[in-house]
Amino acid sequence: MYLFILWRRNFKKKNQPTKSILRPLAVSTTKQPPIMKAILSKTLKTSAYTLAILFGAFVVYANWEPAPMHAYVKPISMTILKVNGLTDLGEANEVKEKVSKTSGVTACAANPASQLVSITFDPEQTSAQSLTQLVSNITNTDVQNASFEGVEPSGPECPVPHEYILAFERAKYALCFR
Amino acid sequence: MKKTLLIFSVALVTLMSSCKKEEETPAPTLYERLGGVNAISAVVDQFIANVAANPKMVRTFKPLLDEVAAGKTTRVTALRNNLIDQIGQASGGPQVYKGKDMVTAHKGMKITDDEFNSLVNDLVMALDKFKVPTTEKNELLGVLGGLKGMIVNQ
Ligand code: HEM
Repeated sequence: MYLFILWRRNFKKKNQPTKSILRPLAVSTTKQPPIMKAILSKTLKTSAYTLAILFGAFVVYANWEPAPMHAYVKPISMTILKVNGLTDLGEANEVKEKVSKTSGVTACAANPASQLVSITFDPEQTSAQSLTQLVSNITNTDVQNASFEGVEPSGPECPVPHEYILAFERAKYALCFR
Repeated sequence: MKKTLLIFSVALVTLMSSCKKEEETPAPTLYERLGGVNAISAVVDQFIANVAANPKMVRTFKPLLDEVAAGKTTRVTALRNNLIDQIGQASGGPQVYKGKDMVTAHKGMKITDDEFNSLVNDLVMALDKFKVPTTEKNELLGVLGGLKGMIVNQ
């Protein structure tokens, strides 16, 4: 057995390609030294394993418990419009009724005290622009996006943007198979 | 004798199983009576729309309203999700509310009694729009009204 191993080693050594000094320069520069190659391949392998483990852990975490019910409800979009001159309750109710009946609108409120019209809608069926146009047509006025400038905010703010939290949640529910 | 015993045991089993059936069908929860998650999400959408148009809510909801005005809806979506889960759980549904506790969520806002009542009125208007019966409406308002101490003056 020992002799066989010795013979194999010798055989390998003999059959290894000899390094030529006369190799073209272009080839020698592109070829990485074996140590660099080893480090690179090791780093790549480690990163791939780490990513695979992290992904696996995330899938386990996503499936730890069933997704909450809100994950099954269609997401909405929202727009708030300022309608100058909307001080009459009758007109506000008319706006509310007509907008509520529009396909894709999930809720509408029109308040004469603030002259604001707020609409929640399914973004796949309608858009903020078309709803602004609709309210403008009903009220015969120039409708603008509401602005809340000049109002002092109250209470502390979360330092993590809501987009990040929501994106994390959506990724989690996308990988939940329960 | 054998026949009597058989009839007796069949009668006993029937009686027991019918009793069990009565026990197994509990009264529908408030969640079921309200109409489940879709009905709750419809009420929540109307509630959010009412709040957004209410001038008394601008002071506290300013960051959320600013984002909506800028065309971003992630913040309002997060609030909507939390409200669906909270109302769902409070009414006996399968939802689990995972948002902040009410004291933490409203800390530093110094919400007044008047603001609280105005917001509850927005919820009542939303429930009325969907013609939620008085019993169910009062039951839900009772559950949520119990949170007042954790929300006002924090
Ligand atoms: C029964 C009454 C109420 C309930 C059930 C309730 C419920 C909630 C819930 C579930 C949240 C989300 C918590 C989270 O982000 O994890 C929230 C946030 C908030 N609530 Fe309330 N709330 C109530 C009353 C009020 C009142 C009276 C006001 C103000 C007048 C108010 C103002 C706010 C504001 C400003 C936020 C933060 C919204 C954001 O910017 O994301 N709430 N509330």
